[in-house]
Amino acid sequence: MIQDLVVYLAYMGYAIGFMLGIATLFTWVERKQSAIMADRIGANRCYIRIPFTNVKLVAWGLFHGIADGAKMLLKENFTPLTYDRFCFNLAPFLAAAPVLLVFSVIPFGGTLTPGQLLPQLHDFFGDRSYAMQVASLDAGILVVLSFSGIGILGTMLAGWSSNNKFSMLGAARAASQMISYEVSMGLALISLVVTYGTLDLNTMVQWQSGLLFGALPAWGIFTQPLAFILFLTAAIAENKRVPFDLPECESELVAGYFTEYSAMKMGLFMLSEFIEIVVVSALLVTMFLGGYNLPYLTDSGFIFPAGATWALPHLAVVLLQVGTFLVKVVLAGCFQILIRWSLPRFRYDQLMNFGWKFLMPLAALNLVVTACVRWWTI
Amino acid sequence: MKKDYWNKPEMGLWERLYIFEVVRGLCITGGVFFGNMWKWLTFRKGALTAYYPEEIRSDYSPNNRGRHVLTRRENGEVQCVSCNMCATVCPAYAIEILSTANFDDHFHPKAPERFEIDYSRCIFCGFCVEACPEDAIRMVKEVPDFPTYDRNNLWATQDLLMNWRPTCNPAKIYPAAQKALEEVHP
Amino acid sequence: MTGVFISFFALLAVAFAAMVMWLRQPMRAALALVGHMVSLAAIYACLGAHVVAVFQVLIYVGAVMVFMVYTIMLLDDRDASCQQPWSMLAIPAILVAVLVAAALWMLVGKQPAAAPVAGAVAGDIYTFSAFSLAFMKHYWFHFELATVLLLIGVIAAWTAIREGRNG
Repeated sequence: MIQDLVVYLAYMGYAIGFMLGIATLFTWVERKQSAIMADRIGANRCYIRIPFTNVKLVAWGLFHGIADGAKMLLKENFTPLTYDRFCFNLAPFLAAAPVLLVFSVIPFGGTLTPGQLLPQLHDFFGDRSYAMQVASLDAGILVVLSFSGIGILGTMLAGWSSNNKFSMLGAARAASQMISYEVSMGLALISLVVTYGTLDLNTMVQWQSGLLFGALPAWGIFTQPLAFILFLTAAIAENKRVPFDLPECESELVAGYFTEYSAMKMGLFMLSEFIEIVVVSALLVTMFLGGYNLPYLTDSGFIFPAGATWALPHLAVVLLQVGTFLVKVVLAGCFQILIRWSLPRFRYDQLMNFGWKFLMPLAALNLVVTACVRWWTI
Repeated sequence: MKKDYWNKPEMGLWERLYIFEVVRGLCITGGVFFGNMWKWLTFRKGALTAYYPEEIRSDYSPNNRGRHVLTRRENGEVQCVSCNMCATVCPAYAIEILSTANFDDHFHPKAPERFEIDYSRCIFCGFCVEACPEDAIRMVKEVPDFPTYDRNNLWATQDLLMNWRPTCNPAKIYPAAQKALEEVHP
Repeated sequence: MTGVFISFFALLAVAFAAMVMWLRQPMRAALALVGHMVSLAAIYACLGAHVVAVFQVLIYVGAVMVFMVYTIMLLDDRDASCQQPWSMLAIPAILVAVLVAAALWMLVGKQPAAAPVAGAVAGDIYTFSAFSLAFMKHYWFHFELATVLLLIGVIAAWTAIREGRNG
């Protein structure tokens, strides 16, 4: 019992640290990557001076995330003249909390047997083993969908209670867009569920650990390429980022539904947006890119298709799996940021047409084809 | 009623499918990213930006109006005669002059004791240079040492203006004081 | 342990339900309803029925309440009628509430103390595959009946759009 508590507390700490750390990293990546793509240098003025010396630790501007956070915390927390202060104060938390909850069902590593990590730990943990996942729920994907549904409430509440027309318009746009794209996202995910035959994300990742045609890893992107594109598009639209950033487009609506927010409440909206990038990347990695699987790596070590094997201790395998997941998530996030700095914004009617007349029929078609293939091959 | 524009794009099937054009766009931006990244990794600069205070750009126009210079006479004294024309013409009221007199120097009896320019107000219009009857103030193209953390550092003193780039106009000849006295009172 | 959680969330659900009745602003009442739904989902999750819990959140909060909030957002709720704290209709409402409470009390007294329903033991997880098999074997007809309702809804929406275009 106490061992379970220790392990799951460690998992929770890792999950929260993972999300917040990589979200802060992505604020830096977004600036720096856009700068390099546009022949600029990017943010590099923030430094930490090593005490008692004149050495300034710049680290390519990595500390700008910390500076942003400190700035947000220290700014004046301005509340506009609104008719519902309670809703106004509740909205940022309602927007940020569900995003943090989604990560609880995502597996970030294989099976952990703490007793085998180090010989000293064996007395305490014995031979218990845990899946590296905060909550191993049977209905993994549905939890993801339902929590992202709660997130819509936060944006709507923010726009409504700000008593501002820009915020109101932004909230209306955000809500319609998120509801519309949730449909095609759900359909794309269902075709994935049909392929894997499960809703549990950990089982999905284990399904992807096999090999296709003897050499190609059986990742979802190879078995369901269309669902990958559909899910990526719908997820970016859910996340309200370019090219779907109509709810907060600066040229029309100042900042959209969080125009009236200042200080850390505005920071919560921004942070939840970046955490959402992490979560979307983690979902992409889990469902389409093999999760924590490195090709040919099993729980006992590498087994190559030619027959060669390379046995590894448990600690190395766990570290490799966790590291693989981390690297994949960062790369998927960088890809999203590349999209964000490449594409122009949609017009609103184009957005709705694209969602309802193009993505949804395509997702439904994909589902039908997947179901037929599954029916014949089962 | 939908309006038709004269420059409405003609889109074929390839463009209508959208996704391939998106991939092409991603390839272009990604190519730029990796090209610049390779430059950074090989210790070249992958950007056109200059780090301003640390790195002065080399290609300022020769006509650029940068920091002011107070020119000197041959003996190293300031050429300014403290006529206050530059301070009068200055639209930003950035120049302050306090005069002093030296009646032994007959050609140059009046000189500034303090000549200060407030760079937090200066708009670099160059009017002071044009107003000066003595060619005592000039603007050179370089702009060193402007950024600072304290606005008091933006006051340029006479010492700084005279000495940061010592300038002398040899075409303008000033006779020595004794010789001048002989010329005036033979 | 599970009992503590269940009673906590049950109290929370009752409190939120009372707030839905009590609060006058439509948006706050809707938020209280959201809280109520989430507490119900938490009770289901404590009982091990994760499927029902997830569907409670997904359908009631993620779909129904989102549309309710959307509608309230587009209405002007600073209307004076929302500020009126009581109306005469409160008297029959309170009467009915008292009657329902009394009936529940009687039922609780009549219920045999033991014999919980098989499979509903707390902690015994009702898996998704078991749920889908039961659903598709026994309740598929009821599910298809619900689609008729959806069809009616689609037709109603279409008619409303046509009316709006003509008028």
